[in-house]
This record gives sequence, structure tokens and C-alpha cells, in this order.
Amino acid sequence: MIVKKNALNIVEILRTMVAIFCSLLMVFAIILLVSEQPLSALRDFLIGPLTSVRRMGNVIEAMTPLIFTGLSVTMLYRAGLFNLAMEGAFFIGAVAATAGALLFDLPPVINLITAMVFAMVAGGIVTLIPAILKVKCHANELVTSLMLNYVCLYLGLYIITTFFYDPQMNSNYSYMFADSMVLPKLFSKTRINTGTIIAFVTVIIVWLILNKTSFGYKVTLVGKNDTMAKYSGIAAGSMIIGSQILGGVIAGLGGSVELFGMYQRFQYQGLPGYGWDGVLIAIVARYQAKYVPLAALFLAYLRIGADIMSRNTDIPFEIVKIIQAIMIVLISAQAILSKYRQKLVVEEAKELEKIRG
Amino acid sequence: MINVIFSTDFFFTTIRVMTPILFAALACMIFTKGGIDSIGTEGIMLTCALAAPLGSYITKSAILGVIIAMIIGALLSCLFGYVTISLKSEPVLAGIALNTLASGLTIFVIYYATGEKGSTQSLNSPTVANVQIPLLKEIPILGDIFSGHSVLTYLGILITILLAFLIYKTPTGLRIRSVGENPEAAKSVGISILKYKYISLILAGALCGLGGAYMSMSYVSFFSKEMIAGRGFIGMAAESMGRGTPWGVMLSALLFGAADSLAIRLQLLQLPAQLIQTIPYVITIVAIAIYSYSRSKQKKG
Repeated sequence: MIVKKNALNIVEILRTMVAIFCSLLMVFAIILLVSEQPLSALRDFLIGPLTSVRRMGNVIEAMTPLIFTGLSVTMLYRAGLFNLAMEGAFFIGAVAATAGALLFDLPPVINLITAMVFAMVAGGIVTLIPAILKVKCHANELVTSLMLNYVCLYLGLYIITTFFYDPQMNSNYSYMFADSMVLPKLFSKTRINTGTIIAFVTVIIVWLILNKTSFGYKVTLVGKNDTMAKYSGIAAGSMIIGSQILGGVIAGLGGSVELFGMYQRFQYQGLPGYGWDGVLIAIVARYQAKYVPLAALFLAYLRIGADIMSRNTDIPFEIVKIIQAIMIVLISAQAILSKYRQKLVVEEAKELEKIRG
Repeated sequence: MINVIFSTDFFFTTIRVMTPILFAALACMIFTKGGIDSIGTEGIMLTCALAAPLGSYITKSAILGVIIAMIIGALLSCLFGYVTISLKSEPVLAGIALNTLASGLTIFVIYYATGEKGSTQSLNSPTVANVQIPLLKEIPILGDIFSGHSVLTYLGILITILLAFLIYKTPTGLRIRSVGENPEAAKSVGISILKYKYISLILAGALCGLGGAYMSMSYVSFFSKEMIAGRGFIGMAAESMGRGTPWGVMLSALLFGAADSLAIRLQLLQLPAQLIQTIPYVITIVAIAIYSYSRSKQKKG
């Protein structure tokens, strides 16, 4: 059985690799077709992020929020729900963190922690709503969470403009945070900050929860087979609700880390889209917490590469979204390599028979 | 205050903002009837909203622009079908991919078509006309509310009637429904599942095309990025609230239109704009929760 599981894993990894390779190939084709300076565009895109310390720093900075939403989606999806409220939870997390930062005047580190706890609670409440509606009313979590994201957006903007709006700014920005609220930078020449460390600690915590606790085991079981879990005496409802709260807590924390790490005041005018990116990251990481940083690093690298390319050449930044879309489809396409997978399973069954025979 | 809200203007705006939601909801209804996930509606509509002004700009004809949008919608919808049916992608993920693709691709294309990244305003493409209905427009109040809308709005209402007929009164409709509700049973009586899935995909895609074209050729006269702004998702909500029947779907689209229109009117009263904007979404969530709860009770009872 152990051998078989490995073989299936290989197919999964292979499919991910094929998907990444194919989507990059398609994008190279697009660049070659439409660009006036295809070679310099490709160079900027592929090795641009490695050409200076500042740009390498940019990759790490871009990776940090993606780790949080990738983990959030991993957690939300474990229970088998398509709860897409992580987008709203990330945003509301940043709003709640702003409130926590500006309402109180506590000693430096304590105030920062208070604001982050605000963000985590707010994020948890957001993802809890579709979960409760699912468990209690059997409402489709996909639709309710999509609607909820818009509620989060407008409610968040209302809170910022009504209570924290800085009249000296032209846009709807909040007042500036105290210097003690800004996460300390780790390296000179970059904006890499302690937020990245918080992200990695969160990876470890989520990995521990999912793999080393009975809660994680039960949630995974509920996600895989709801009915079986019920018959083995697991309270599916509370497992679902627990996992959804946790998913939102992670996303909310991500919102506050991004806010205090990269900004000095609340500046979002719309949903930042990190939640949707989290879906791709969770898929590439195959819903395993330990692979999330790698997947986030990959997407962040693509982003910074595309950004450099769009500044220097005629290829717009949005090409990244095209790559993302192709990758999601190809990785999730079960039919790709299915014959190869079938062959592996058959071969192993034969080998097992030989051993036993 | 009541006067400001419930004026003929309010009802006129309600119908105006209902139209794209109606198209989205009808598309979701056809998707759902054929047993296909409808989360990609948002992205298909967005792409079509760009295809319409580009098509009408190139052909110099508004009608051709709308038709091109419908064709693009049907093609994208079939692509989604191919990915989920033949490549066996998880439908929700494929839908998210489609939406991501649309939001990137549309900006990519307008950048090459116009040199700008925000909108196609500079193209001055032909738009779909608003029409006054003879006789109806003479009637006081009713004339002000129901006359003078876009051709596409009247087309949407006509299509609702046609779909009600198609789905419940024709063999094709029966087969689409059976393929969606019970594919095994449909297969056992010799219905080609693939054929009827693709019929629903093409129909629903074309409806998305009409919805997108309405946004960029009637609602406003150009494409701007992310202009669908969740209307495809609201269509999903309207479909599930309307219990999947054409009339129910139209009624819930009208409800969303009214909520949206109410939000626009309330802003005139100096009430906080952003808080008002949450109203349609909150109503949706509450309505879906109540509907789902009552349905699950019925099943148990």
C-alpha cells in the first residue's frame, strides 16, 4: 500500500510540473507573438527578479501575504467546503487591524498584538458566516461567501471613511499609524519585515494542526467523506465550523501583517485579490501546508518578473493572470496523465502479486 | 423621503439595473438545468462585455457587435465545458480559472487595441439604442417606467418567456433537464448526455454574451475593466433564489434590481453611500439562507 501511495504522489507532482511547464510555454508563445522586443521581455520576466537585492526583496515581500491566503484556502478546503470568503476576511482583517491600531494608545508591542488579534477575530467571523449558514440552513457556501465578500468590501470602506479618514489625504486613506505599529525591517535595502517570520510560524502551526492533532484528522475525514465521518461518530458540523473559523483567522492575520509590514496607513480602495491567489497556491501546494511557502514563492516570483517586464517592455502585467488561469485548469484536470496513473497502479498491483505469489 | 425613493425614476432604474442580472441569472439557470457549475458566468460576461464594443467597432454595426459577443460567450462556455467534462477539472476551480483569465485577458486585449489599460472609451464604438414603445409611452406613469429602455432589456424579457416555453414544453427542454437532474437515467433511455450538455453550454454562454453586451453597449457606452463587478455571482444567487424557474429567476433579478436602485436613490439623501451599497448583498445572503432552510425542512418533512 505504501508503494502505491508513492506512485500516486509522483503522478500528482508530475501533473503539477507539466501544468507549470505548459502554462509558461503558452505565455512565452504569447510574448513572442505580440511583443516588439520579445527577448528582452523574456529576460526581464525570467531572471529580472534576481538582478538586484531590492528585487529579490520584492519577491519575498510579495510572497508573505500569499502564504497567509494559501494557508487559509488550505484550511477552508480541508473540510470539503468551497468557502471563498477568505478574500473578504483578508480585507476585513486589514480594516480591523487599522481600528486596533488607531483606537488605542497601548504600549508599543502590546498595541501591535492587540491590533493583530482584532484582525484575527474579524477574519474568523467573516468565514464563520457561510459556515453557519451551510451547517444550519444548508445554504450553498459558494454563493453566500461570494456575496459576503462584497459586504466586507463596502462595510470595510464605510468603517475607514467614517471613523478613521484622514482629511489631509485626497483619497479615502486612514490616519497614519504610530511608528511602533510598523513591523520592523529585517534587511537593509529591502522591505522584508518580521511579517515574513510570522508567516512561516503560521505555516508550522497550520501543519501541526492539520497533521498532528485529532481535530486536523477529523476535519480531513469530514472533507473526504462526510457520511463516513458521521457514522464514525465525528460531529461533522462542529468540525466544519472550527475549520472555517481557523481559515478566516489566518486570512485576517495575513491582512494585518500585510498592512503593518508594507503600509503606514490603510490604503485599499477595493478587494486586493490575495484570497483568489490563495486558491492557486493551495492547489499548487496540493492542499499541504508544508508546500504553501514554495507555491507562494513561485507565484511571487512570477509577479515580480511580470512587473519588471511591464515596466521595461510592451507586455502588460496582467499576463500573470493568464498564467494563473492556465495553471489552475491544468493542475486540477484529473484526465491529464490519468492513463499513466492507471498504468502505475496496474504495474504495482502486479508487483505486489509477485511478492505474495 | 418616500417620494424621493418611490418615484417613477426609481422603477425605471430598477428595470435598467435588473437587465444584466436577468441575463446572468438566466445563464446560470440554463447551466444549472444542464448540470453544469455556473461560477464562470462572471468571467464569460466580462469577456463578452469587451467583445461587444470591439466587435461593433470593427464591423461598425451594433447588432453584429452583440452577435459577436454571444458567439464569444458560447465559445468560452464550451471551453469551460471541455475542461470540466473531458479534462475532468474540478468545476469550481475551473470557474475560478475562467474568471481570473477573463480579468487578465480583457486588460491585455484593450491595452493592445487602444493603448490604454482602463477602458475602450476612446473607440467610440456603436451602441444599442433605447426604444420608446408606441402606445405604452402615452400612458402616464406606466409609460415613464416601462418605455424607453434598451432593445436588449426587452429582448431579455422576451427570452425569459421563450426559455419558459423551451424548458417545460419542448422535448429538448425535457432532455436538458433530465441530463442535469439524473444523467444515468437519461443515458439509459438513449439521450446523448454530451450533446445536451453542450446545448445548455452554448445557450447559457450566449446569454452571458447578451448580459456582457448590455453592460458595455447600453448601460454605459464602453468597456471598462472589471465592469461586471460581481453581477455574474449575483446571477448565481438570483438563480438559486428563483428556484430555477424562469419566472422565479426574473422575479429575483427584479428584487436585486430594486435593491440596487434603492441604494442609488438613498445615496441622493446623503446617507452613507458605502453602507447602502451592502444592502443588495445582505438581502441576497438572508434570502438564500431562508430559502435553503425552508427547503431542507421540506425535505425532512
